[in-house]
Amino acid sequence: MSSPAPRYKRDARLPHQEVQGQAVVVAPARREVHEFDETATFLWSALSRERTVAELVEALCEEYEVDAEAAERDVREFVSMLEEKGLVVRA
Amino acid sequence: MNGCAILQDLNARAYDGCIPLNVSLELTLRCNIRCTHCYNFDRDEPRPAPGAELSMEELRVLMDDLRRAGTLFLSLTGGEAMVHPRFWEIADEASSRGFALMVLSNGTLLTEPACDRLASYGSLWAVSLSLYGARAETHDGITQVAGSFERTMAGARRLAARGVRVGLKFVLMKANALEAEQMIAAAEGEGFDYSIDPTITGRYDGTSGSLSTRVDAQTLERLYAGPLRSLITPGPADPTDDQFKCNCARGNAAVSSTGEVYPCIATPLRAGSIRERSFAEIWTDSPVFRWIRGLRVADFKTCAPCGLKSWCRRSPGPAYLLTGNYTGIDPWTCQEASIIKSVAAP
Repeated sequence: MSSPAPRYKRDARLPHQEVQGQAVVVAPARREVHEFDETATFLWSALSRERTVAELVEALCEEYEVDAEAAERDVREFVSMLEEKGLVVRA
Repeated sequence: MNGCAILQDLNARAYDGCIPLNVSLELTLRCNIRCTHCYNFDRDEPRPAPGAELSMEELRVLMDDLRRAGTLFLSLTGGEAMVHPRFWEIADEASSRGFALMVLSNGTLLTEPACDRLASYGSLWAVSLSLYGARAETHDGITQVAGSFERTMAGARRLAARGVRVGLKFVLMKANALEAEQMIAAAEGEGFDYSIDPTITGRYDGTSGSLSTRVDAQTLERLYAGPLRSLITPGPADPTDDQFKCNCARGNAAVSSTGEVYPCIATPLRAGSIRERSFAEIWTDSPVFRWIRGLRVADFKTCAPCGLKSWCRRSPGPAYLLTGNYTGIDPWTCQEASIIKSVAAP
């Protein structure tokens, strides 16, 4: 039996703000500041609730005219970066 | 872009777009030390009748308003912010709203439990502590509280041990100027960030007793030839309007302990009160803020024709506190520019 797909959620403790349509996220412990483009901002916003990669891909495809395969690749890459930087946690 | 470049870019965009990215929130004017150079009021005299500090409910409404207006970095300051009886509740509220929190403090209340709690905030960007000497005798002479140096340094070390970013803010004056190099060496030795500045301003209450603590010209020249040399960053001789102005009322704002909204915490030029209008309304519509945003170099009548602009570290605060004129000058700043030029381009 395969294990359920991991669910991700942004770390609610991290400071963030949307500046001229782009999400800015501060990671004080690492002394880092991240700024996202429009698509990444959309995904960051979606991650205010627990989401699987599949759910994020679906949301992205609904919002933008984007090929599902490319969307999945981009979402996986983005979520992996968020996890590596400590910006999201697994629910 | 790395984090520093992103912050620079953000501040530039905040300036261009008039987004209050950085806000100082003065929680109280009360303080547990009595610095001789304090810019609030003369702490050796009876305190001027204080207005009522913002209530928790007013602070909550303000914080919600700031979030909507675009604020990311919120600095809790004073007086001494940590003497506010509801400091922790305020910090909790700010933290839960998504602000990157900064605490500006004298550090004397940074006990082990206080440091534990501060370090527990995932939103805490930095703690900035004022330090006025390399030796306890010097620092305590300025704060007029025995033991304050030891308590501040202990607090700084406790925070650093918990992974909190600590910045030491050195204000140079007559009483500590000769210790500047030791102060820098101590900060570097312990791995603290630091800033150092010889600017002393008049006070919010209009008194100017603080100015007697300033270093004299000869000392200032020695400082700029030595420990302050890194502050010498020549600017353009003929700056554009945007190069000449600071981030006041563009990317920066301040709210006083009684709800007055200022262009920055160092310049208490009243743009409105959040007890009368929302922060957003004041930010957008205040005639004072619109005037500041529209200023051009030519409006600074004394500065515009001055040949020292490349070397000048002018900011509106000292000029405003001394003269009541935002575009005016503090002659001390002019003298400082002249000294910087003589050191950098003799």
